Amino acid sequence: MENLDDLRVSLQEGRLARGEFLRRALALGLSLPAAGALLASWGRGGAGIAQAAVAATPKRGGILKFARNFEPVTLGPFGAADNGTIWTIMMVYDQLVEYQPGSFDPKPGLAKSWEITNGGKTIVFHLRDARFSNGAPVTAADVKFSLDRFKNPKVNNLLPFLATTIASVDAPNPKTVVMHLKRPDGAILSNLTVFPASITPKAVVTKLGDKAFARKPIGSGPFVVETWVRGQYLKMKRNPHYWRPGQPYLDGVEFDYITNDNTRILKLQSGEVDVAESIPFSQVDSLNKGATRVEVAPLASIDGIWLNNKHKPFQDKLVRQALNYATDKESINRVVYFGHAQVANALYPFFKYTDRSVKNYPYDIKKAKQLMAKSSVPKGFDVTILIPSEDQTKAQMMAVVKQLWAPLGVRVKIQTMETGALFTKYMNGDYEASDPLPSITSDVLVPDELALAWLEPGGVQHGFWSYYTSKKAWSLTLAANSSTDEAKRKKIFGQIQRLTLQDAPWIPMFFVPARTGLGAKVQNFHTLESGWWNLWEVWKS
Amino acid sequence: MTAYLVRRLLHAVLVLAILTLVAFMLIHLVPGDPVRIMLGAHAPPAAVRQVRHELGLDRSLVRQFASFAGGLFRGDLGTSINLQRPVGEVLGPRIGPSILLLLYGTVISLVVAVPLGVLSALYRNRPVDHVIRVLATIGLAMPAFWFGLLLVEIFSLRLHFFPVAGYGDSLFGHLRSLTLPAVTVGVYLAPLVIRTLRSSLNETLAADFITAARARGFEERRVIGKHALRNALIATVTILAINIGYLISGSVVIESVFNIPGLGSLLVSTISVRDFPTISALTLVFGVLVIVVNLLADLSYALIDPRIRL
Repeated sequence: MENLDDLRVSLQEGRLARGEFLRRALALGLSLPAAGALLASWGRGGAGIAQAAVAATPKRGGILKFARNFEPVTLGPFGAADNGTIWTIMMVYDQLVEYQPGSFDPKPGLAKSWEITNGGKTIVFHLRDARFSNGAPVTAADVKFSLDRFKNPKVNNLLPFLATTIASVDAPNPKTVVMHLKRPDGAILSNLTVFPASITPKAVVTKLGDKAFARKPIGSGPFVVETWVRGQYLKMKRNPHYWRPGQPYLDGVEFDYITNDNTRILKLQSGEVDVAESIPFSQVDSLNKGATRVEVAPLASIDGIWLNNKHKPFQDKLVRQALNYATDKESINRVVYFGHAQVANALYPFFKYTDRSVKNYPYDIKKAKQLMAKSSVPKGFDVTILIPSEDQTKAQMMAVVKQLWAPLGVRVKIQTMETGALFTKYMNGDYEASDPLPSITSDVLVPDELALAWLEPGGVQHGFWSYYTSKKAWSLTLAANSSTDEAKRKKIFGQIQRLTLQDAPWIPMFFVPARTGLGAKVQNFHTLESGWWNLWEVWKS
Repeated sequence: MTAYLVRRLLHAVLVLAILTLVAFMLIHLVPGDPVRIMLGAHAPPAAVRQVRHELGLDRSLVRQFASFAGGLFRGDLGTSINLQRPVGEVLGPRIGPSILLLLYGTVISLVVAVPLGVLSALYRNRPVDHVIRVLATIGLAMPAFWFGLLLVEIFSLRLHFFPVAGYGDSLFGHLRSLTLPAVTVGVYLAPLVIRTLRSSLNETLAADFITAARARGFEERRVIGKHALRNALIATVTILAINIGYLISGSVVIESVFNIPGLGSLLVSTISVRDFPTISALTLVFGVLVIVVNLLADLSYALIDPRIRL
C-alpha cells in the first residue's frame, strides 16, 4: 500500500513528477489544497513550488500543440476502437458520466445526478443544462437515441458487451432519462463512460447518417473539430457552449501526428509543440531536466508473457508458477523501463478493488527450481516466445527473460513477427508463449470488463487466448458484476485476484504507465488512467 | 528517337503489369488481418466478419485481384481499409512532398558535388583531392537518420534556422521545412556523384581528343567544361538516376524522421495496419516514379552527347 511517506521520499528523490505526486496524493484521499501545500513544502526545486502556487489562477487563451503518435481512424463514436480515435473523440463528445483525473469512480457528466432504485435495476439520470456545439440543447431524447444505439450490437459492434445489461432507456421528460436494467450491474456506470456511449444530437445524426456525421462531428464536449488533414494534423477549437463554466481555458488544441519518437521529442525540446506523447522510457529522465518535464501516469494496461495453457508443458500449473517465480520483474523494470513501470500484483488491473496486500510472485529461483523438479518437465523444455517485430522494448524484455529462465533448463527462442500476422496467429491459439500487443488495456476503470471477457468458460476470448478456465473464478466474476454493493464487490474481486494469480495462467509483469512530455508553459495537465487527458482544464502560462 | 521512346514505354507498361501482380501477391501472402488490427482485441467475431465482408476481404484472392486490376483500368485505385477513403485521395496529396524533397535533395547534391568532383579530378592525388575523397567517404558512410538528427540538433535546436520537422504551409514554408531533409538526401547522393564524376573525368582527360583540344590552344575552362565534362557526365547521370530511383522508396526513413507527409511515411503506416489496397497502389506509384526517372535519364543522354541518336 502506498502511503504519504513513500510519496514524500519518491518526490524528494526526484522519482516522482509533481503532477504525478498530486495525482497519487489525491488518490490517497487528500484534498487538492492539502496536496498542493504538501507539494510546496516537500517539492525540491523552486520551480515546483512556484508552479503549485500559480496553479490556482488559470490563464485563458492559447493553442495547445500536441505531438501525437496515433491518428484517429474516424471521428464518430462507432467504427473504431484504437487509441488514436478514442482519445481524440473523448475531447469532442460527452457521456452521461465521465472519469476525472485521480478517480476510479464515474463523476457527473451530462447527468448532474442520478438515483439507483428498484434493487439496482433502475437508474434515473437528471440532465444538466448543456448544449451541443451547434447550440442545440442536450435533451433526454438525444440521450435515449444515443444509448439505444449504444445497446444495439449492430451499431455498437465493437463494445456491445458493455451494454448487455441495459433493457431499455426512457425519456419521460426533456431533463430526465430512466434506464432499466435486466439485472443489477455493478459496472454499469463505468460502462456508460466509454466512447460508444457518447451523447450525440439525434436530429443531426439522423439527417446526415453515421459516415457524414463522423466527418463533421457535433458533440457537447470541450472542443470542436475544425480541420483534419490526414497524416498531418487535426485542429480543434473551444466549444463556446461547453457546460463547465469558463472552460476550456485553451482557445484550441492542435494534434500533430508524428510517428517517430525522436522527432516528437525534438519538437518538444525546440518548443514547436507543448506536449508530446509516448516518450520512450530511456528518455524520460533526460527530458525531466531543463525546461521540459515528463508526466508518468498509471494506465489501465497490463504487460506480461501470455502462456498457451493448451500447449505442453503449460497445462502444468507447476511449470507456470515456476516461470512466474523465475521472472525477476524488478530487474526487468530497471533494465527495460528504467524503473518507471509498476510491478503488477494481479493478472490484469483491478483498479480500486485491488487488494494491495496481494504480491506478485517474488523473484525466487530456488523455489522455481523446486517447482520445476516436481513438474512434468523436470529437465526443462524449449519454448518460443512470439513478440511484435517493431517493438524494441519487448525485444529487450525477452532477452532478459531468456537469461532468467535458463537456470531452469528452459531454452527460450525469441521469434519476432509483424503485429498483424502475430495477432492473427495468437488468436488462433497457434503459439506457445507470447507478449502479443504493445499493451493490453481495459476500456473502463473497473475489472468487470476484462473479467467477463477473459474468464467466461467457452467465451470468445478464451482467457485472452491463454485458454485458461476456472469455474470458480467465473462464478465469482458473475457474483461481483451483478452486485452494486461496493464492499461486496471489493471483497469478491479480491478473491478473484488471489485465485487467478495463484493459478498463474500467464506471467503478469507490469502496469505500464503513460509518459507524456510537457513544455514549460503547460499547466494542470493530467493523463487519466483511461488514457486520455483533462484538456478542458489545461492552460498555458 | 520516337521508335526508341515507344519501345521504352511498352517496356514500362509490361514492368508495371508484373509489378502490380507481385505487389498484390506479396502483401497477401504475408499473414495478418487488417480488420482485426482495425477493430482491436476485444471486437466480437461477428463484427470482424461483418467488416471483412463489407471490404470484400472474404472473396477469393483471384477475384480480389481481378477487381483491383479492373479498377486500375478505370483509374480507380480502390478504397483504403484503414482510412475508409478512396486510395487516390489518400495518395494524391502525398506525391508532391516526396517529389519536392527528391528534387531539392538532387539539386543540393549537384550544386555541391559537380564542382567538388571536377576539382578532385583536376587535382588528382594532391591534397585537395584527398580531402574531397575523405569527405565523400564520410558522407557515404553516415546513416541518413543519424545525420538528419545531427542537423536538427545544430540548425533547429541551437540555431533555430529551420523547424525540427514538418512540411510548412506555403511554398516558402515547404522549402524551409524541407531544407534539412534535402541536405540529408543530398549528403547521401553527393559522394556518389563526386566519385563517379572524378573517375570518368580522369578517364576522359586522358583521351586523345582532350590532348588535341589543348593542342589547338583552347582555354582550359573550355576544354574541361565543353569537352571533358560533357563526356564524363553520362556515367554520372546513370548513377544518379539509379540512386534517385532507390531513394524514392528509400525516403521512408528520412520522411519519418522529419515527419514529411510524403509517400514513404505513408508506406510505413499502411504496412503496419495491412491496408492492402493502399500498399498495392503505393508500390505501383513507386514503380512509375522509378521508371519515369530512368526514362528521363535515357533521354538526357541524347541532350548531353549528340552522338547518341537513339
